[in-house]
Amino acid sequence: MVFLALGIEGSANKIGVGIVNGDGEILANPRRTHIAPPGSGFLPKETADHHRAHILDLISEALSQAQVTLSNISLICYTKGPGMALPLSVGALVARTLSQLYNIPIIGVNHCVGHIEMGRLVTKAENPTILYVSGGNSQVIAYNESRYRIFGETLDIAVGNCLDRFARIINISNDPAPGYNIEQLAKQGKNLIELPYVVKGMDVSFSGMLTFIESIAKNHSQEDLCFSLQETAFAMLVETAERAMAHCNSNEVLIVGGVGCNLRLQEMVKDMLKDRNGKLHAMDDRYCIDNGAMIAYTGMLQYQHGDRMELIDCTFTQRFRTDEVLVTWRS
Amino acid sequence: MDLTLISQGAEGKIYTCTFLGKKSIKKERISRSYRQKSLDTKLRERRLIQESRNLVKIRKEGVPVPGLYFVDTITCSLYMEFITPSISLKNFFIQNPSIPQSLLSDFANQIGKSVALMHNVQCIHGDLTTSNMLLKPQVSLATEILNDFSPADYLVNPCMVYFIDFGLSYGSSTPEDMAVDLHVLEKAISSAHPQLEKIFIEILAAYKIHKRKADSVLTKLEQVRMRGRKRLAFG
Ligand SMILES: Nc1ncnc2c1ncn2[C@@H]1O[C@H](COP(=O)(O)OP(=O)(O)O)[C@@H](O)[C@H]1O
Ligand SMILES: [Mg+2]
Repeated sequence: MVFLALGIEGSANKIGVGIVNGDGEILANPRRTHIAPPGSGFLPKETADHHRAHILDLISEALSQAQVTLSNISLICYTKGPGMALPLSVGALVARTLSQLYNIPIIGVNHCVGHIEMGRLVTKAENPTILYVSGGNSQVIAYNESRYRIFGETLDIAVGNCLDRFARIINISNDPAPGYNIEQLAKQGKNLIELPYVVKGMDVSFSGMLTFIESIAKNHSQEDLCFSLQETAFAMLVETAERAMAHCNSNEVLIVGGVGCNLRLQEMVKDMLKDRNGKLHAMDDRYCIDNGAMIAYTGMLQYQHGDRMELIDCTFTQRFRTDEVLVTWRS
Repeated sequence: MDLTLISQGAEGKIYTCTFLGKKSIKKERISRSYRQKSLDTKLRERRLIQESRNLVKIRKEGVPVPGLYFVDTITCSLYMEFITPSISLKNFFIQNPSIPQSLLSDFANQIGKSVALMHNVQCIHGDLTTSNMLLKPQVSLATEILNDFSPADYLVNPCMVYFIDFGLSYGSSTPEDMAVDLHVLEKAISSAHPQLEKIFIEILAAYKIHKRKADSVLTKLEQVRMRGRKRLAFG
């Protein structure tokens, strides 16, 4: 009988269900996105409502795409954290219920580790320096002694959060995603506006840049603002990634997380790597963006290496650092 | 000039060269194609100036740093003393699996004291990692010995800890900036050398002895750490 893991991800504004087999093949990976109206961010309650409305359909959809039934599933995986509490609770609740109803073992997964493992699976990167850039996260990570160690991170807000809030300030649409719209507008930008550039060792800070942009926004075109924000914020990220690479003697970079879809960011990392004879492993949109398969796959790795969870431990948590997870499946 | 590339770090190329007849280090901040030209120029120039200014300032305080020979603003290059033989603290830790506690304490004391001396004159290093500290044997040794100094030789010869790479350094008198400087070091140790995490406690102890008004910095450090733990990271 083939091993089949079903994963549920719902830590932010996307709800996804993925099914992965024991060889790491992705059999299904549907998702839905909650899109907030322009000028506002996604709120916990509305997002949780959205997830609740879609999760059962998504599970049926995933099962039928994979041509299996719940009784074929060997393991239920869900995102334990980090993320927004209410949306997380939806995934955790459904996972626990399925586990009880069908008597299937259950595993909680760290969302960030999920992104990393999915990235390694899809790109076949062995031991890359990881640039993790998303709505809630900006970290430079490398594996060392059984943990994904955080070498650098944002000291205040995440780069994705910076982009989202900037989009709200200058009223850019959230559909399909604020970051995507910024990327398109930035292509027409020509003048680089000088913005605060804050790099401290391998750490970065974006809040000063956002406050500054807010104060000058009315004097510039949307295009130039988008262009300048991207060029400056991404240069900071690329620089810290390179610092971490030099520090770890690493020669490859894996970009994960939603902001990793940004082609300009990918291009900048590629340029940086060209000077170092390094290699970029970029994810395509299907896996960069939060999805269920990454949770299923990572949960399966944990399970196959002896990780077990009792129902009582199947909680969720807003704060769950990447380096808290003992990585038993790599050595 | 007889340039030999010895390292390509995050910011630039490090060469050995001969400067006025003396074996020296040339650190060139090369232009990086991934960032916009105007930003690139600004960063390289700013960091060149910061590094040279603070190298000089810190040396006066008695912190072991390479002597500065020459600043070339056209190519954004610094010429400085070649610390040799030397090994970065990072490579020393990686290549010597077991290091006697007494030696670790000695290095911790030196590091804590040097950071305190920098902070006492309002200089924030900005990039305190074990890559940016070099061990150099204190004793004058015969040239034959110096030429093939192995990582293990640093275990048995008393060493000085030199500080390099002041490109991200800046002037500040706030406990917050000093605390962040220490926190960068703390994280650099715990992420790259998790088994040596405890050395940071000794570094702080030495820092406390030599830093004026150390208490306000250490209180801030606690807050900076809490911020890190509380920070939401998701998505
Ligand atoms: N003065 C010096 N003497 C000996 N080696 C040096 C000196 N300066 C730099 N190096 C070597 O070059 C490496 C990178 O130098 P650094 O100044 O840290 O540049 P980067 O900004 O690229 O990290 C160091 O880790 C060290 O091995
Ligand atoms: Mg350095």
